[in-house]
Amino acid sequence: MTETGSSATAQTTAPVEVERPASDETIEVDLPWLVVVWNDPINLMTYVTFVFQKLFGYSRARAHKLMLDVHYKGRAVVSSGPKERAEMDVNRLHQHGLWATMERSGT
Amino acid sequence: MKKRILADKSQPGGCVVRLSAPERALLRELPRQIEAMLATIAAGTTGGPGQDSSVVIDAAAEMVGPYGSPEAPMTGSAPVVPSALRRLFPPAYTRDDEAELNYVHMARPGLLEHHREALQTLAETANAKKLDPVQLQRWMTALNDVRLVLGTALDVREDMDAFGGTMPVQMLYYQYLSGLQSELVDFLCSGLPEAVPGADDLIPDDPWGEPLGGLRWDGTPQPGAGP
Repeated sequence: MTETGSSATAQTTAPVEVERPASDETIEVDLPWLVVVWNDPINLMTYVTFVFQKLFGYSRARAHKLMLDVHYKGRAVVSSGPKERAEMDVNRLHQHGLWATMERSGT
Repeated sequence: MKKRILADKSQPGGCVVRLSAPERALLRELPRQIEAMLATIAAGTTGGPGQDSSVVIDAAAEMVGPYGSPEAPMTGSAPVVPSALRRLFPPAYTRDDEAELNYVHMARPGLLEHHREALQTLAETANAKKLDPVQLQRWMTALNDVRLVLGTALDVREDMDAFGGTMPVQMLYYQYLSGLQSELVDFLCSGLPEAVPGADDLIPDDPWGEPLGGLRWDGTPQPGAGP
């Protein structure tokens, strides 16, 4: 990822809706699919953090940590769930230009 | 540097855009060129399922060339990078061809439309003084798309600090767009809602353990990755 530009600003805007609220009730004990985001040299680090917050409702701190994992480890597991759900997450990440794949856990 | 993206008091979530005429011309032209390439793909893939879209992408890139500016060849080699557009359509499954084919058929038309819509919006509103939240979101998507295509064609690396010799004009565009996108990210971050309660607890553990050593998704080494 690339580091560019200024630090965060303190402007105020209306809340942007998180697109998918977390639904803890439906989470199964063993989750078969993992959504992985891979490092790439083009996406801005701040942008990747922003996308994790926006799509998954993660806190800024955790989203930032995931972004750092992507950057330094080369990839991070960002969400998990049944196949259809994982595919949907991958698709939303692709819409945002992130390099996401899905893997069956335990493989 | 003076801020180019400012909160618009008259519309929640909207912004005021302060850009010069040359900047706006660039923001009109670049997305237009990439949208034209995507339109070719869209036309090619409407023939029905079973078609290998990636071949169409390559054909489109070969036809048009990266950005239609032959007077600015990149790094002395052929300016055409057939895979430049591929970065907009990453694979979902890397170890299961059948599943990947299904994903492509299921997701690609929507993905294509999503990118085209964003690029069209940026081109059409490049002169706008104000953007509403939807336009702003599409600007973000489109700026990123243009950077992905330019960056892929330029073979941008993380450890690339400077270009030796003459910098291709596309690299200047790329850097300009990076700066502008960065401002947009800051602006949109300030409008993000609070974290969803409990969401952090759902982040899965990484079952593969420690670093793969900064490998790309296809297992090839990542230049400059790793602490």
